[in-house]
Amino acid sequence: MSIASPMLWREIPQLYRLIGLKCKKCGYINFPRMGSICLKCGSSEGFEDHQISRRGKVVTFTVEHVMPPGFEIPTIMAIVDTDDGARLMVSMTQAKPEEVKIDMPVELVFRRFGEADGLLRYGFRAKPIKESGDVKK
Amino acid sequence: MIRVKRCEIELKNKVAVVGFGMIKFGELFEKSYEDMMSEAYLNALKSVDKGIDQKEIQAAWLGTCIGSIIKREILTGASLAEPLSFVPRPVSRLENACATGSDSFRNACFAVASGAYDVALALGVEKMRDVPPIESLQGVVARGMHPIYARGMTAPAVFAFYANRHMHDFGTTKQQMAYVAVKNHKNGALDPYAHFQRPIKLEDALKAPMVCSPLGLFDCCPVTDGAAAVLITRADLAKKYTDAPVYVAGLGLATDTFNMASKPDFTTFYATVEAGKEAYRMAGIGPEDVDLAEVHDCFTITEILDTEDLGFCKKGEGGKFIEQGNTEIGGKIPINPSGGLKSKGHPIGATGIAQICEISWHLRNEADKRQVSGAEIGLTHNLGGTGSIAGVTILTSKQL
Repeated sequence: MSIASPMLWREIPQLYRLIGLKCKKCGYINFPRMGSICLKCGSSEGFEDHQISRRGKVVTFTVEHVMPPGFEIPTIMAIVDTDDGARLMVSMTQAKPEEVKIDMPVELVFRRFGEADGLLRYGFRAKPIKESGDVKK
Repeated sequence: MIRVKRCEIELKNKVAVVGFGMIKFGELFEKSYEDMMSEAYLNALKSVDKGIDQKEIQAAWLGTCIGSIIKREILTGASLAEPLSFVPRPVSRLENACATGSDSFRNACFAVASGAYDVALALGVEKMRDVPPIESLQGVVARGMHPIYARGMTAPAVFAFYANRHMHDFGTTKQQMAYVAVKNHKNGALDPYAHFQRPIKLEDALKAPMVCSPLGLFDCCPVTDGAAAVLITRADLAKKYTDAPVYVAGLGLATDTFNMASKPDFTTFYATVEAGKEAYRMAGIGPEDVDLAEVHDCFTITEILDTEDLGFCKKGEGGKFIEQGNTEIGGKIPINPSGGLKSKGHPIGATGIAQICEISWHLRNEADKRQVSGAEIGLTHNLGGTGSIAGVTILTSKQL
């Protein structure tokens, strides 16, 4: 399925800057961003932009061995909870399949995914944190 | 999430199913979408004991999902009206991921219960194998969703997330998942409509190639073509068509978020829990009253979660419950006597309707070698998306 540039342009805040929407009423971080109603409490009082923390841990994961053309084999997908309470689904990078574990600390890093439909694709991926102290806030 | 007042139309005992038609599921290279649909429809007509004239059917609900993605067939209700010579009667075309079939049935039931129609058709059909398997659900999900955040998430990956977390939290094992596959293949071997009609060995399931860890090939349902149809009428008209109508006692449909990042946890399908609660409440029964169930086992782990989420055993104990044989035909609560999605196959839009057919045959004592003896109350459970939609139906052989 092709994607035209307006969609990627519209999604710059979340795709390239990792900005979620924090509900002014209940504080839940809505990510992905969707409309103007908080998923958690149903409030439409408004959101403020929230810069999601780049550090988190793996909630669950899977190593995919069967993928359509154009994907890495294996592709490791993970659900990550960030330190500030956001939850994301991302692919992992610089990780060995056998090393990935639940509760493993990870850092979200900006990576190029390649090219599709004549457009370069970028986004965040989760990289295992090997030693403490090597992470930028 | 926000709590709201639930459905107040009491459907219980008002609607009956009087016709049941399936085709043998499989890789039906020789049959088109329309061929499969008309075969299931004609089988449903033929199954009406006292006969039915096609013209008595006033409206139809067509459950079909993948067609609009791979674009092989005409869109709109004409997809059904044209091949079945149903023009100009109303046909609603419904798409709700893998729960498409049960939601089509549900809408047809509400229409009949409302008095709008005396007889309605609910038909589910899917042509999955006109594209290579990698381009069906596997590719559609990985490529067609959000360009970055759903990028790389295949259908098995969704359920593998749940499998890994369930194993971590409750000690569920790969062997327990393999038991689901072994049981469903054993049942499927007795089902003339099943895609795979052969038993498998536990060790073969355990050593199968890995698809999406921890799910191996035998943890995944196949890519299957198929169709199924049922005829629905008001309960007070049912005896005109058959002496053994199957009554609808409860219907539930519930949503959860689609985005994996918005899920509260990865050990429960909340849409299943909510749809189950609604169906049980409407029927006035609990899980302990159910004699058999057809549940959505797109992956073996899904059946383990379904068994817990529908209340057949406690949360976390689904793997053990199945391993101990409780869900075999003849066990405490037989689950997927048809072979389930794992063995019977999963033609998306047809699955929910096929589940209704299977339960109905058991309630009518027509399930032959796989018959669950004395079955009076049966349940179907159909799950879609990333667990983002679930439909539960409770069917009975007598009005409750």
